[in-house]
Amino acid sequence: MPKNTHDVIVVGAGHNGLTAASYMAKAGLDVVVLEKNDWIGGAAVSRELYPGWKYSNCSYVCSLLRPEIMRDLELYKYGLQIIPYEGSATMMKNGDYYTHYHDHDMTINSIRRHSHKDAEAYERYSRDVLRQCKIIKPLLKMTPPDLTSFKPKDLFGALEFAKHFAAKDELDGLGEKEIYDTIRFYTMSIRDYLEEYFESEITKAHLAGSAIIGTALGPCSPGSAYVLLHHYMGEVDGSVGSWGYARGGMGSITQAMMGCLKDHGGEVKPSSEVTNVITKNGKAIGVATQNGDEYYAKKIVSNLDVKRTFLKITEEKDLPDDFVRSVKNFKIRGSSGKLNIALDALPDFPCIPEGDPGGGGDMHFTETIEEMEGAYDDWKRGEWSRNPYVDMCIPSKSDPTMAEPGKHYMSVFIQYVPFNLANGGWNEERKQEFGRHIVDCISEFSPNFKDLINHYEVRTPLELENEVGLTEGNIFQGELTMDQLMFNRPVPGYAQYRTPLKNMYICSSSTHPGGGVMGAPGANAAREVLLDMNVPQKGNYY
Amino acid sequence: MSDNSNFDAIIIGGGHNGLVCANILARKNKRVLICEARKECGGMVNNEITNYVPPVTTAVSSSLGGMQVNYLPKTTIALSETGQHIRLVGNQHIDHKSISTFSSQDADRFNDFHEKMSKFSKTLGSFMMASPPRIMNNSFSDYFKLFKLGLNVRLLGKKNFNEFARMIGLNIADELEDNFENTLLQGLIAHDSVIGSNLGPRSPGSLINLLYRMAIHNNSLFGGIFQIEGGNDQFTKHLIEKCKSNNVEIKTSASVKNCIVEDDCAVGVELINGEKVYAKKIISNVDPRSTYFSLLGSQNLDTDVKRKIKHHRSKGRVAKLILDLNKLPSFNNCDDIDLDSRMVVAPSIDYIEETFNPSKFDKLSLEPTLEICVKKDSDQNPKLDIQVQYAPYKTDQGWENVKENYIESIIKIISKYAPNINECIEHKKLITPDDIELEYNVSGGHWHHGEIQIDQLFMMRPIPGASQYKTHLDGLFMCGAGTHPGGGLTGISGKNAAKAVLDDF
Repeated sequence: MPKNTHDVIVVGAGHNGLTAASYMAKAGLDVVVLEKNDWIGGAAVSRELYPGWKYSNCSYVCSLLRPEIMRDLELYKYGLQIIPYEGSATMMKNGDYYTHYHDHDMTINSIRRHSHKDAEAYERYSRDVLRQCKIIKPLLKMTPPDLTSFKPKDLFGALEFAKHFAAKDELDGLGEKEIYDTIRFYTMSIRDYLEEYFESEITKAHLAGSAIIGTALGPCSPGSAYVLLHHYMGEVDGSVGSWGYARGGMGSITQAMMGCLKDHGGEVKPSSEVTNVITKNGKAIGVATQNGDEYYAKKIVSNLDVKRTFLKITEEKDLPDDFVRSVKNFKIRGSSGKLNIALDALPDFPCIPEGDPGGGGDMHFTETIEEMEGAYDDWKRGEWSRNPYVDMCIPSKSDPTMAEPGKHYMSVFIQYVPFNLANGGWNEERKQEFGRHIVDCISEFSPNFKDLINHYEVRTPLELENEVGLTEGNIFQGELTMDQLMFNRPVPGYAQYRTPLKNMYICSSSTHPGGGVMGAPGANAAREVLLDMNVPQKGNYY
Repeated sequence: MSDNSNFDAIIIGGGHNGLVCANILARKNKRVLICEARKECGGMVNNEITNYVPPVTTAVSSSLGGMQVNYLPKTTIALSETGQHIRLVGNQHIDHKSISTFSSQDADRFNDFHEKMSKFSKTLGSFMMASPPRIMNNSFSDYFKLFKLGLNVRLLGKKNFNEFARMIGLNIADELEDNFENTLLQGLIAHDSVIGSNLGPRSPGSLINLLYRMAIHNNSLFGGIFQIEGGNDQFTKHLIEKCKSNNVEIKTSASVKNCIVEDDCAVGVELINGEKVYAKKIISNVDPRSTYFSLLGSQNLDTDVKRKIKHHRSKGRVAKLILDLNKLPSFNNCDDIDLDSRMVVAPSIDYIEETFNPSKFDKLSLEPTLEICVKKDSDQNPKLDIQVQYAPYKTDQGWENVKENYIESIIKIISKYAPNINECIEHKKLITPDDIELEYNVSGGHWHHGEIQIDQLFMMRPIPGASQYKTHLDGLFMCGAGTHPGGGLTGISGKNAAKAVLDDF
């Protein structure tokens, strides 16, 4: 028996890899996680890239992480704390502002400043969207059945899915009307969807933001309404749709997971980039790493996106042709960039009244859906948006661990930024030009912003790919469009976390239910591995 | 009150679906009256609006007792500025050959692509011929229908089932870029996928539009595109003749003001001139929005229905430019047969997408896509009948202020392919979507009386709860293109509606 033999190897120490590893370690398996970088966490990290400041330099806010996973892995015990934020705001060029709050009635009052009709419609809107959140919640935990299979397991799974939708009882299932509402919600564009509720441009623009973050869709693209749901279905402390900061940055999530993993005998090896999967007789038996080590295991679970898993570390000859072609055609498009900024003091945003909790969370300055769609049109041409949609927040306002007293850390997420920049692609100069452009955009709303900047880090989709290993820098590891969701994710026919290569599994965000710091793909994949290994499973999640 | 209460059915609007519906009802011995607001029946099927028609399906023609019109197949030609046009006829071997002169890989891929799409369009077609089932009303026939539809898809086989599931929400640009390298071919197919719709080639859902189009055009990409011998209006003329022989009464210039509602049931119609006509069933061939808001009146609608209809998307994006000519212009590298073809100007996917971008917010793009058709007027003078997309329904500046400029920019595009076009033009006429709205009483001026997008298809067409040709008012039915399966000059809506009405008798 060769040395370095384990029960399971997990490739990649992102949050899904660590979730899967922790579940399997808890079930008593000997698990090793191999990570290419010398730090842990993938895109959920806190890094001190400038002395004195901690950057959540990829993902920056938390909501989607499933509460069952937090409980099962006892993440609170290992130091995770989520601080909900109280509101969000859109600043307007005329000096006005638009705010949303944690508190429903405050939000209604705030909307009423812009439109009485919208304030009323917001009641209807929040009811309908929360209903959709409730409908999708149990689906997140399910392994999508293979609809073409006649195996009892899949037939039963399909029945479960159908039952969930078709139960007669209003409380358990949906009526005819709700089924239509659901289909419409999943297929419409956010613009059309919001137009059924609201009249004022600012209301629509503020709400539509969630529907474009991270995607290569515009607010007019059918299917963007679903992306909104994807950003709404999370919860903080049981409050659905809320967002919060992880204390100490997003890295605390993965650090807590690692704590759980280590306590249950798991092991994480940084600086061990997996170069290829070792196969024998058409089965995966181990992996080889960059530094020449080989590891062997009964099961291999990949936390890489579907393209990296099958086009990079697996050899094409081990896979069916059709499958390879589907993987090649999988859409994974970078559309987002980021600026991480170290500030000497809190910048002024004169639009937002001082002390208004609306300024405590995410801030934006896109006033109309038309501007947003224009930003998308730029991206389609291979340019960064001249008038971008930004999602900026200053976590250090509520979390003193991010920067020294009085200093602040600001995270600016930018939509849209292409991976393939037209006219020659990215280089250092254009990257800096892009960074300056964003800083200019922000300083239009904050006169003292530029003077307070101590240091900033510019991240284009290219950096996301090179550093974190997200193909094309797509934050969801694959577009969240109808052709790539549920049964179709990552590839139709292989949505059950298993792959055509025996003993090889995939647990990344390329699988159902998709991206965001959610952990559900990891937990679902772990369940399937444990099922195949006949290991009894424990936890709330299952 | 005139003594007219002995009609079995009144059909409001004599478009082709209304005519089909009327004929089917009359053949079942119903007394039918058609009220047409315009001077003649036929709606948008005429020589000015319609350039090409799909063949009438056997199901429709047999329920009418046969259609005696002659279909002339038309070739499609994608114009290229360099003169390297692509000509496609819908025959697999010929098309393979003509594409292989550009790229042998594309030619082979085209065959596979065509075969796959054709298979899926047949499956989609099987959904079209019957009224959509209702779900959850515990009726055996509805469950059976659902089961049958599911089975149809399942019978495609594992691989195709998965592919079909993926394709429903896909955008056409991705699929074309995965398959083909020639941008002109990509542009041509993308053009046909977004034609008549509010989607760009990169909008998810644009692929299903193409499948839909194929389903009514002989399940073929470029086959099944016809003109009717003697003019496309022969189609409706023939239907009108049939009406006469089936004793359908037709009132023209008889604009209906509203439905007469008694005891929550539609019992008749009131014409603009005050005349009231009564019948057992009222069938509306007008678009859903007008049906609900004008015929029914918002006082008869609950808020939920009102809201849904209000947000029913039916803004047209297609304009027509008609150029009367003194002689035919010479198109670069085109012979007489080419001039008899459907000439498409859509050089690439990006070109179409750029045209689409401004239209999303009712702005004008001066580089639209064109589908050019050479016709002859009654004096045998040639004219160019050009379908222009995407022309906004209304523009910020007002159509009357930008029309001239728009016409000139279109002619400028044509001059790239036919340099002497300017010397041939005698007279220009632009018909915008809002002109269509006014002239043909179609709200939004939309071809299909409503967008063909997933949330407005099948059980949700035109709106959930009214997808079985019945409206929310007893006795009032719909038979227009706004209902399942939608427009495209097929008459299927009219046929399905007739069945729903007959079932209700």
